[in-house]
Amino acid sequence: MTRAGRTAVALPVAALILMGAGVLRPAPVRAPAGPARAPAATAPPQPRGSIYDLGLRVRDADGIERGLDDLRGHPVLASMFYASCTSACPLLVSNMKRVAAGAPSGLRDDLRVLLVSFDPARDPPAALADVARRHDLDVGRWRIAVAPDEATARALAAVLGIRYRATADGMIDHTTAITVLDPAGGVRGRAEDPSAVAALLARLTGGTGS
Amino acid sequence: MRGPILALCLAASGHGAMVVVPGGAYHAATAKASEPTRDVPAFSLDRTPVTNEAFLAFVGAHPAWRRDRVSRLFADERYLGQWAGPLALGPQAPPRAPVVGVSWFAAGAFCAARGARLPSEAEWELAAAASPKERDGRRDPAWRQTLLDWYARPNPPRLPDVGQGPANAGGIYDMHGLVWEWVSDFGASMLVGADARLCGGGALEAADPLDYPAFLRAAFRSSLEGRTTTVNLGFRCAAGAPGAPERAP
Repeated sequence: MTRAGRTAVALPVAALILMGAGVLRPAPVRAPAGPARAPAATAPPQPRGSIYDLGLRVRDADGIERGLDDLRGHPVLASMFYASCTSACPLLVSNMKRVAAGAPSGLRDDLRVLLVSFDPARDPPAALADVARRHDLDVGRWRIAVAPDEATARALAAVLGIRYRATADGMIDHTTAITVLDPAGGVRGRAEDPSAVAALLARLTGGTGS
Repeated sequence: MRGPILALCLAASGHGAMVVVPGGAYHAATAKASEPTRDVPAFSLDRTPVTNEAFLAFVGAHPAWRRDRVSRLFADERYLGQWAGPLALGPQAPPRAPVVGVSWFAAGAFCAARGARLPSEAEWELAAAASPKERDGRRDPAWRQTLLDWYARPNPPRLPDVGQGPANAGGIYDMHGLVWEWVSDFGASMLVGADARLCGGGALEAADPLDYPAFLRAAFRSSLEGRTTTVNLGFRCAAGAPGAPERAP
């Protein structure tokens, strides 16, 4: 790859280094769910963190690379896939559709869906547009994009809790968790089962759960 | 002759702690025997894992990575937990011992600040194949046993300094026997649950079922998330070979 390639690879992590407290919008802090751990006695609440702090850029179906900031302020369902996938991915798309359609009325209009392909070689912009057509997705609410390089794909996968690897037969083995993001970009949880994802989403409205 | 000259160039450009690892063919321990090997181009790799003192300097310069300020999205609650304070190493973290308790995000940010990156799994394993005697020591039963003995030993309460043991045949220290290390594509390991083919009998289809230490590492990686930290997980940085165009690992 060229020098430009190297820059692109370094960017997401560079953005991480530069991330400052000023970028973070504090979200309500809930009691930790895990085992009790003694926090530093005087420390203020730790920032929950935002996926937007990663400064990731993805290539959209029109072929242009953009940041993810247009999603800020919206609740988001996010996952990763690849367009030529014939096994797990159609199920993933239909699960996300189902959850989005069944979202609580208070946030259904606001909800956005982000689906990012692992692989720019397999998924040119035309393939992304084709996914939207094939599954009859509302492109005003669904953002189907592709990671422009491996570093971006790995960083997004790490924050979304998705594992993947290319196999020798040209496929990509991957997990299919759907992550629920709050409007600030905080990760509110993830699950594969649509009803579990729906429950996470419902908690965003404050109607149920904590 | 080419290697030493390139190493000198590296030293001049601030990569003095790195050594060039010749490229080679890589076959993951978890891949099927029928899967083709992957060509890994030559790259540069730190001679030793990143130390506490080096990471302390990084955290001082990039306060967003202090343990009392880091976002929970990028590091779990145990991040840098062995340090005495956010900017103090203390008795459990000798300056020259490897830094542990760092997340993948933090390790990647440290390397990026140096103009480097984490090694890919293929790169790391290629460099780790060397024993003190040979570039590929994986067939040496005695060496393999040495590694398995290490995996069976509990962690010492206080980690020793980096660079104490013998270097491997590639001039690299502590690939085994000190700490586990992050790789850029840890998320490609799906040994537990995610990929049923790799579970149980699937291992029997692997190219080299005898390379059990590599299996152990893959299983360990498959248990990690990007924000995970553990008391025995550190890292070292990699970069493209000098003069060669950088490639996404």
